[in-house]
Amino acid sequence: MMRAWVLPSLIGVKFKSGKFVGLGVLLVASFVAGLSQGAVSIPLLGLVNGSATELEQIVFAEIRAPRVFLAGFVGASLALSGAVLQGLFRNPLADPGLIGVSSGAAVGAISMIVLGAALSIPDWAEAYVMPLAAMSGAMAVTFLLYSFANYFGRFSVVTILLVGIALNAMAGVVIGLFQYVSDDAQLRTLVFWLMGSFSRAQWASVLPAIGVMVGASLVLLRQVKNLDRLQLGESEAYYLGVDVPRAKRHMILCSAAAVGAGVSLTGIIGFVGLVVPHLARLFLGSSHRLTLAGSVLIGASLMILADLLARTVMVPEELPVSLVTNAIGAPFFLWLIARAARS
Amino acid sequence: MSLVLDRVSYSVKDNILVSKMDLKVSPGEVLGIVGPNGAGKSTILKLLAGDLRPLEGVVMLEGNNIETITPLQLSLYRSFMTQTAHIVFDFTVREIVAMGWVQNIDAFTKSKAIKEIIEVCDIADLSERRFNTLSGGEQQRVQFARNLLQLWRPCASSKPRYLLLDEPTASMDMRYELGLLNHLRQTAGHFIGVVIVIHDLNLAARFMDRLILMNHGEVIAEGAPEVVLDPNRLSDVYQTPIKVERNDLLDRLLVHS
Repeated sequence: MMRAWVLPSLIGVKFKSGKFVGLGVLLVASFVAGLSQGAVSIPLLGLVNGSATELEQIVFAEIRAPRVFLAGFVGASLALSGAVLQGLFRNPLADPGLIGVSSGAAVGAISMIVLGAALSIPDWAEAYVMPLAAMSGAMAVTFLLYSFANYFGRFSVVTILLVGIALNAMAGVVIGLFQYVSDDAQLRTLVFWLMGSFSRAQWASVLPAIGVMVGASLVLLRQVKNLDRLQLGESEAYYLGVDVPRAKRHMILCSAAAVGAGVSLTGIIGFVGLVVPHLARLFLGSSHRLTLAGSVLIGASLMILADLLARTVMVPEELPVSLVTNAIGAPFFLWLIARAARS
Repeated sequence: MSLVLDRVSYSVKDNILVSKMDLKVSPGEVLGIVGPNGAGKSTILKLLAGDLRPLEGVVMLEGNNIETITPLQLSLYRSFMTQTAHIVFDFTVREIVAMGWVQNIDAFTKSKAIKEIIEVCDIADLSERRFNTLSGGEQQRVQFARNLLQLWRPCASSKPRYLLLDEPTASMDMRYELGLLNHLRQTAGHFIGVVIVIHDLNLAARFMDRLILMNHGEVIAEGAPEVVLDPNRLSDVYQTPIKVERNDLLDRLLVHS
């Protein structure tokens, strides 16, 4: 695997690794800013040399750190899944949110919020039921999309978006039904899902989700060569030695798992999976080795910064982070459509 | 040592594309498949590549049923240059060529091979350009280079390999078309069996060791170009009057209508 990271020309290596160092610095800086800034600003050095107050320590360990880590991993997972789905569907407008994968995850999670009480789930399992339901929802939608694509041949850019609209509308029906039958407490939780936020991050639920996201992401990162070859066409990828059905299965399952694990804790956060892979491509190049690695770094950084903005812009109130990502992503989406229309 | 179709039939619904076909390709020869549109030529290539599974009969590569060979193993033995080329994202020509690298050898050998192939195929001036900005003929030259890289070996190899090409020169100008066909003759010299679907019967006569004339999914004639390219037979198959004559000055067959 390591060999794949060596670029053919030495100049290329230096050029690209310089950019990756830059992205690494951006990620570290985002982490530092995210961890230290907020409603209560925390001196990170003080935590190390013991001069921080007890309050600062508690805020850092129990509230700030799990939140920032969750934001980083969710950002990386959404961006990586978006990049993989774009490559798999050979479609620059594929995004877990736009094509309905996130909605599928939300339906899974919300059904557990509303129906969970009736299922008498043991306490210890409660933290896992929701992520599992969300992942199942995401997988169901991805499989549906893919069987659609297989049935009609290759998906055109427009078709996949139209199918996404239909799937999102269907998810909307289910979510609306659940809203209608849920009680007050459930409704509050539900609304939180639909907004998308990191404010409920706690280590107990964050750590297992991070485990799933890391595992799924590692499988996805191993698909770089297969994704490159799939760009030539599915038959051509087969002629180049790709076990196409197996590669597709891995991509679908793992991107859905990564998205589902994130959505189960944060709700729907739009456009990250669309915008970040394009930034990575513009900045680094289309080879998936670069696009995927860049998406992870940029996705994590941007999500931490977006969350930082969401919780500091009108202290002590907090904006849902999806408002921030949508505000950035929607105009970018328009620009992409305009670009696609021109060519 | 050979790539063999043994009594192979293939059909889609009631439409018979290939009917009880026998074919043997050996390393070192250049085999041309000719015939009118819809004769089943491309289907033959897809069957030879292991992409389509025959409904009857069997495809054998080096004595093994091709269906039992993993895609990865198969990629070391055969490459297939198809007609499609639309690529959504912006890859450079060098990146497209590099996708042909399927061997598990060190990066230094890889970059050496890519450099060599790019020079041999005369696409050095294109190598940093974006594939999507190239003309159809230029894209075909790049895809050809990618296929050559797939079969490239670090030293003279006695392992048989097969190169399948579906109208590889359809968009090329005369210079590059002749260049590619000359290149195929050299490629065959490296213990590679070449199967090419081609429409130009003059070039088929000039560059192929052996020809197969197909119509309606069946072999009409097989053998040396002088034998296969019979004017009565061609007129019958193409349903248009075709003349074939020997030009002694050029020392080759000329096919014209």
